[in-house]
Amino acid sequence: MRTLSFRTRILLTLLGLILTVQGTAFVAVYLATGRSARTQIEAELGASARVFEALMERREVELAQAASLVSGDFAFKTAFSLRHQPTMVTALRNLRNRVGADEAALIDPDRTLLAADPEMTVASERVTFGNLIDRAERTPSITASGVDFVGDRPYLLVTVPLMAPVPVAWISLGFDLNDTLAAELKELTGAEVSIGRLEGETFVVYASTLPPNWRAELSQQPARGGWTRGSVSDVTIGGEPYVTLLSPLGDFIGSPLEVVLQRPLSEAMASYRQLRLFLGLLTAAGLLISAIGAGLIARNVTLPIRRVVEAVEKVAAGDYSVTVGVRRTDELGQLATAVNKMTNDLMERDRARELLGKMVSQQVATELLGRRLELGGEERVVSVLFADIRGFTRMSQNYPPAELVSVLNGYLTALSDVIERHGGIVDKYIGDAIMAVFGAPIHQPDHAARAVSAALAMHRSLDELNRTLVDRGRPRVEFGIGINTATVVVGNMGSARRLNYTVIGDGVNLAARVEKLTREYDVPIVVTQSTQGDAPGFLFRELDRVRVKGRDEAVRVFEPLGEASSFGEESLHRLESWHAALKRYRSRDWGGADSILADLQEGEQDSLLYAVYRARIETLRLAPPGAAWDGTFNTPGAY
Amino acid sequence: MRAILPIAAVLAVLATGAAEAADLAGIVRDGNGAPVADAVIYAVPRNRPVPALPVQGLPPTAIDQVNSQFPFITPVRRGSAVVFRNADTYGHTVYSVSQTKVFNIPLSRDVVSAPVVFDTAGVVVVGCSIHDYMLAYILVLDTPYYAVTNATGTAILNNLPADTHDVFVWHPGMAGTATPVPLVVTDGAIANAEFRVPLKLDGLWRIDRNNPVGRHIAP
Repeated sequence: MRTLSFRTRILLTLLGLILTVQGTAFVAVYLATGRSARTQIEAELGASARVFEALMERREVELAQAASLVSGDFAFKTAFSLRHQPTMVTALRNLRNRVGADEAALIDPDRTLLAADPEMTVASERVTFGNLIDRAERTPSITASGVDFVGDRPYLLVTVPLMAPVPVAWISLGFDLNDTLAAELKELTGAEVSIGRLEGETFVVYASTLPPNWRAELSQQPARGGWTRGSVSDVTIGGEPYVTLLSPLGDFIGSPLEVVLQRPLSEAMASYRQLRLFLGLLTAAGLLISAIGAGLIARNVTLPIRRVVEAVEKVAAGDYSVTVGVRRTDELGQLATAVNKMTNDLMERDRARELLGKMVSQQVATELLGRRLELGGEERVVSVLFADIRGFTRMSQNYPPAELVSVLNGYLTALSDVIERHGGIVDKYIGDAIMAVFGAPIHQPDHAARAVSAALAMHRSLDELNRTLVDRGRPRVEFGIGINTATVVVGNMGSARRLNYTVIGDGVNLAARVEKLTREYDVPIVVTQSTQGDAPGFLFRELDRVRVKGRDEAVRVFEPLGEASSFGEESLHRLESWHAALKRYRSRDWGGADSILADLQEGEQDSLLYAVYRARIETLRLAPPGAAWDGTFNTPGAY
Repeated sequence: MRAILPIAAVLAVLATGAAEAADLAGIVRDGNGAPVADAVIYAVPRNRPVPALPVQGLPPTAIDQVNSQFPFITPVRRGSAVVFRNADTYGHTVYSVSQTKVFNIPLSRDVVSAPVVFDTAGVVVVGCSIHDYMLAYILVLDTPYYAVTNATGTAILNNLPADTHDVFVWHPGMAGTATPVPLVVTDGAIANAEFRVPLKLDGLWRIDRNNPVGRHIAP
């Protein structure tokens, strides 16, 4: 999974929060409007029902009043007085047209149908009209109205007496409850109006504002259940949900009739659709603004962080010139300030480290920087190497001071490089001398071999340096290298305020002393027996057994010749001869030793070592040593 | 038809002298025993013909309209005439759509109508097409022996010939047709009779002039 950036996360978190809040509000309002719409539509439907009822009553009253006027109409009385059926029929038609009735009938007080228009079967009407007349006679207004069937149609019926001036007959007017009426009622109530009768599982529709195919659906509705009188239910007609109210229709005389009032749910929702749309837009706009805002906030937060990150990356790459340009006082500003300070500190420390590296060896610098500086040391077996220019005084006389420094620096640099390449550390420069340590502070099991190898390399390196010097017409620089392997004390020495990582001990002194011996034997490198023993793989020439100043014990010293593998048969043979001569020398076989040395000297004219020994032999021959002489050479004077 | 219950047909005929006639004093009560006003009691002799109408006819009976009111009940003999006399200062239009006699007579103020002759026996309901609340009944009879009960329910029929009479009672609130009560009238005597007439009170139409639209039924 991809990790998201901090900025993205801030953005997403903020957006998530805003979306939650706005979404909740939206959903709440959405649901509320839905509920409200339903409540509203139910209320409207209730109102429609009351309006419908009032309209029906009003209509009844109006019809009764119209009929009443008719009942006092003298012309009609005149027509009645003729007792002529066709005349009465036409009079009824005239009357019916005048009030807009669908049926008009004249009934004798004994309930006999005298005339009707349109003509109807006497039998079917006798009961209905009789009932109405009975009701009319019982009321003070002598009128009665109600809903009943005339034939197979439901009618709103009104009965009034024909007054001449007492009731001489009854006039019944009928108004068909047809689609026209339903349409009129729809106009006034705003609801879909259907009139019908519940017959078991079917609703027989007599009049409706619904189109015919929807009427069929409506008539099947009771079978689907949930249709109780006076209750509001949802009925889907033509695929659209209608909130539906079923209520009894006015005063019915015969079988009960129902009126079904319906309002489409979408109608009520329409008024809220605008609100919902607006709300939706508002939410979207809010989200957009919030997103921009959140983006800005995220940017505001993360831009400084990005700057800090960029700066820190540059610092990591070693570019300390960067400064985080965040001018704020908040936490981010503090961070920037801290990073700037850190950069500065790092720069200073790096500078210090660099400086330290110049002052001390790189390894020591690392060691020093990596650890807590503590005064004190530890015992450790190390190899200490001393390198010193031979005849520096003479050399300083031959060089101008500036060039002397240059040559010296070149020499020290070259040799220091060789030492460090071999894992040694330059402990210090003592004038023209170099003191180096192998095996500290880093543990190196092969420190003796490293030291020897370094010494040989230094020798080669100096040869190159000398060639350039000779090319420039300057004299060669000769040097001596002494190595001793011993247990020394390694650590930070000095005072608490000023420390020196160094090695001290007798072994260090011995290394310095054997370096001086290089002049005695005219060899570039002298190592002690402990070094020689620790550095297998090199070919050594034993030089002597010496007793140096300040030490009672004699030490065997050797000259490393190079890696053992690089020597040929003849070299090894000569080395054997030399060691044989040394052996004869120590066993006071002066003649034997001298003759071998003479042979060796013939092969190596320029080697002073043989000459040194032959001179010694000469002296010993003249003044043979005491019984205590064991071949050990006591170093003269200063060393 | 049990409209008239001859509960107390008083047969005691009191001598009234030598005159060849007798009087009938009748009282009409309703089902509750209360006296009924505006009822017509008329008698038809069984064995004698009623006297013939004079050739020149009887003088017409006047029905006045006074203060938009008719006399409620007016019995007349068949073949006789009625004149309507408008005593009001405004017009009336007197009409009847009854099968007995249909007429329609506009009457300006202070006008007496032409005589309306009633040739058929029966009930004539008279109204005024200008004033719906005006109502009168004319009862056209085949006998000259009749009288209208007063507020005490009493009416006296004078000069009845001695005979057995079929005595009838008629009232607008009566349910159905009357069944006669036989009554023997002796010369010079006064016959007393009580008639019980169960009234269908909601069939008795009195029209409240102060509330003509309602056309209330008066009990």
